[in-house]
Amino acid sequence: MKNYRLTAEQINKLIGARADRSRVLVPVQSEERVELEELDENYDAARAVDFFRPFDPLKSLVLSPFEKVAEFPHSSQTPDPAEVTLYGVKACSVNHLRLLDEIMLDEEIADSFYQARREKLFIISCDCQIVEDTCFCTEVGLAPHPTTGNFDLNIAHIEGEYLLTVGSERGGLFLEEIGLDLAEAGPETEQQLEEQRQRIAEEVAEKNQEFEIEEDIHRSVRSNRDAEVYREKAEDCVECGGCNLVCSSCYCFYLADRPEDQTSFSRFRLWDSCQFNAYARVAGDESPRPLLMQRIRHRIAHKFDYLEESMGFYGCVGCGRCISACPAGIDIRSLLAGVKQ
Amino acid sequence: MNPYQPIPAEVVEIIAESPTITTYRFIPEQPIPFLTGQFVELTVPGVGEAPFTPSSDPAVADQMEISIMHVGKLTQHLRDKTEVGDMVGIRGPYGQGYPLDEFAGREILIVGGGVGLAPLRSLIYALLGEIERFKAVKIKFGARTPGDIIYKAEVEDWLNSDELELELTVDSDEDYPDWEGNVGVVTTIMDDPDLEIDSGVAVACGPPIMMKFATQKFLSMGYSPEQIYLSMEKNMSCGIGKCGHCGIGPYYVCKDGPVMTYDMLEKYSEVFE
Repeated sequence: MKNYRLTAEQINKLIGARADRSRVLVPVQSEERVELEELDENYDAARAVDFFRPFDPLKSLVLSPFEKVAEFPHSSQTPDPAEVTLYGVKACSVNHLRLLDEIMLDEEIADSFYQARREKLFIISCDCQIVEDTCFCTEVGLAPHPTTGNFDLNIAHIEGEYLLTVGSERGGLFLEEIGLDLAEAGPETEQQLEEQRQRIAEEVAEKNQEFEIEEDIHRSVRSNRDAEVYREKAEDCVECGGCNLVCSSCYCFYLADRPEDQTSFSRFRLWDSCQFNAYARVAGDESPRPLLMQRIRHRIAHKFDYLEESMGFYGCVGCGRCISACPAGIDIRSLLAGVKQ
Repeated sequence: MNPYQPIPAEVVEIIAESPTITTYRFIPEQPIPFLTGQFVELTVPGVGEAPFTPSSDPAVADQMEISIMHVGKLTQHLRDKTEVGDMVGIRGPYGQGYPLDEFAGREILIVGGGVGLAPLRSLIYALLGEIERFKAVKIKFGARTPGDIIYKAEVEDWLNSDELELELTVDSDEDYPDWEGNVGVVTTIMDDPDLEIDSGVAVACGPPIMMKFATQKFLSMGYSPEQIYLSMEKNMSCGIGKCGHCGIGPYYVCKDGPVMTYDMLEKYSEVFE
């Protein structure tokens, strides 16, 4: 992958050029947190390179929280979304697309709604500069900079200058189109980038030392299904499902039909939560996981055991959104620490 | 293609099988070919959608029969409100059915209970359609009472058939003085099946508790987990491995099942819950 040197002015030009081509969502610092908002003309894109990750899970742009997916008896639901450029998202947000793509773009039957939006998503990610207490990407085998692809362009801020990495063919074509006249970064600058990335990753790891999470989370989750920690956390959990809804990697949804008249209906897809008892309920109201402890265990086992087995990676990117969202103060890292034997 | 769009289908016949089970025959607007053991999502307009395995002959694609036990909101609505001529929606078929090619040349033991005979009827039709491929077919079927035995005409045919062997049992014959068959749960008629176990296959379909005991019995008879085929019931919503609801361990029942071998499932405690 090629790296180019970039000035603050060029970053703003680049985002401006995206705005000529698509809708652009950018991180904006509000009082409490960083949120994704529509680009406005006074926006300083260079300053936003350093922002913390936006709170909104990126999945909401490709797997809508609530959308009509069919009409009966006959449907005109053919998704045709507009192109969206997503700027300033961090590696954790980008990494989860690896999982969503694997599930939703399955060769046999793709989810046509997801597919249409995914194809129209142009991602300009940024290396992390700020490490918050909730960050733990390094504990799940990832890093605070792109390591799994899935971005079109990435920007890193190193000591007064910016480095641009091209991550996709589409990203490269766009750069050619806008003719920014960029200089390639030399080996010295690349070395500098490497050192900075290592330093920030170490900072994340240090912040998480106190949790003493085992390196092979898969093994500990699988071998210690009876861990006491599931019971302990079930005492605190209020079953709000917030952890699932803000989770970048949680993709579960359910289909609900709304009657229009006696013979026709509209079908909607809504995000769902495996922490709700109704989630796995079958005919006659039987549930395979009637206890909250079992549902908390299912969430952890799905992310760290089952998905690792079927996909080869975890269903968790270490973004920490669930930690910020939980009204009961449950920290997923203490669950992972608790299954250690 | 929109995977969530059902195909409209007309209800053309309603057959009462037992006090709790009804068979519905549908003609979909376009044929829905399926393999025996695969399932479909059936929509009752305005009520919702639920997964069912067709009970009809998979060789017939332009019609489909589904036998339904009325235990939930959707199935009770079907019983109380749905009439011949009404339209429903069908999506599918989905998942993995019975691997008949793997069954070929082997002796097959089939154990069913209650409404579990519905998917098994489709399997039996499929087996009978090319019975010369299979070395032996023995069926053990249990119902709550003689009155709960469904498909009375077919059952009579199968009892008299030279091509397969069927044995029935009921949990109780209290109000049925004419019942001459076995009384007891289905596992009580599984001893001494006179079958080749080592090279055979064992199939179970029925309520979770029956599947659990049938599986234990299969294992004690000497079948290995890979030889045991279970028809799993979970909350399949999307039907295409995306929505997450029907997960068992790393598998989705809608995609990796509903017919699954026991070696895939044995380490997950929720299998028979």
